[in-house]
Amino acid sequence: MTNNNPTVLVIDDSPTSISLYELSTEPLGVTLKSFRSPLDSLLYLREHEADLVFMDIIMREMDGLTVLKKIRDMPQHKNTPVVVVTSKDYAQDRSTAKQLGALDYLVKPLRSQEIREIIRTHTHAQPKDG
Amino acid sequence: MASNYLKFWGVRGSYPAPFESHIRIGGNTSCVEVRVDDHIVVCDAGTGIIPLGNELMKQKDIRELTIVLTHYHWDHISGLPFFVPTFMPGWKINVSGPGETDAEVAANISDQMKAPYFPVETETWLADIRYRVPRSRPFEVGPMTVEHFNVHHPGSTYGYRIQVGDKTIVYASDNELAFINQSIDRRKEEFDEHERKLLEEMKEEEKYRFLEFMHGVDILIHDAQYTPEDYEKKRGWGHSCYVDTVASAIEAGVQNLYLFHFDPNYDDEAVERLHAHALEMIRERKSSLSCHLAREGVAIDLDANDA
Repeated sequence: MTNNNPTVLVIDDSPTSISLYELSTEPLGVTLKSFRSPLDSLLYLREHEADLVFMDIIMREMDGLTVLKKIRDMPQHKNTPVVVVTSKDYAQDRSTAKQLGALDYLVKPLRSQEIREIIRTHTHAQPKDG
Repeated sequence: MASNYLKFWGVRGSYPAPFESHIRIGGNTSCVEVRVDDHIVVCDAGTGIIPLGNELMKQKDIRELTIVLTHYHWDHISGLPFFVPTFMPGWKINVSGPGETDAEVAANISDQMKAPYFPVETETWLADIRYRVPRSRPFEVGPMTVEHFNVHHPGSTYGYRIQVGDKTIVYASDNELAFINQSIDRRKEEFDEHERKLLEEMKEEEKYRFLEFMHGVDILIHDAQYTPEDYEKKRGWGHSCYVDTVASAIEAGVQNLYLFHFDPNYDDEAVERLHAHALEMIRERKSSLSCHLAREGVAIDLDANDA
């Protein structure tokens, strides 16, 4: 059977944040791919599509805005929807994210309901039982 | 002076404070020199790098140094256009800072030396200047190993960890500690029980993320820009309240903390008051942390047992 669920990618080196995305997406028909390593996420994106990406900024391996630049450098991901979700609440980072075509810039913490609303706004995800 | 040392050439944040009322702490912006066996790493190039350059011109043995920049805000680069060794042939100066490519580091430096903002461009620098993005692996400067990490400040901003023999120095001039904790606490009531449990774990995780880079270090030079009252007004500006800095250093088991990057509005008495309170906090918590004010012109002997 073909899985038509949208793919949601999370790039965040915080295990707790990833748990929150897992909790949030559990009632939705989505395929969640989470990466604690930004480098691994870039390798994945070279070969795969994504319907929506949630991206943290402060990560050990590489900061999220650099990851976003690298994603935009891939022709197939020029327009992939990316939402930045970070503990950084600075105008400079918001501006850089906007220049790189981020759909939104949100400051942690997010509620599960808010995560679900973002997913449903930007993908065709439906509730599992809906 | 000892032959292996760390010296504060500039300790202010934001902008220089050349006032009589600020003279005991110092008025130059961020610049710290680490010198070991005649190898030099300079952390940031605020106005403090200008007198360092003048000192270097008085000697003949050293002709190479490495500047590691945390970021490109003015208080961290505005001394470079007046740093005399860059204009001298025969010098080799390595410059590292955040960026995607070496060319981006070069552009970030040269863009501040362009008309109408400055009369001469970096093309007039006669030293051999090498720009370099720090790769993910640590790099070596003589006997020193230098590694960068990302910190909480606007834009891409680094802290640096320098290993010299068995001593570890961490330089985090601009880093807003405890921001996420407050964000979580402010929204706590909106979350359900399951989410709250995850957020408490997130607070712990964020705390340890920052404690990780300062864990057990011998010398921590850290942002302590604001009093609690001023931090309330300037939360989200990318700087720490000294109370959070001291609390984190205690928890991380730091040996020597140097409070750094002082607000230029704070005169000597204001900075010394915050130091007195920091010492009180340390006594109350029965910690062995040794807490100092970074004062311009003060050098620390890296060969001393308590450094």
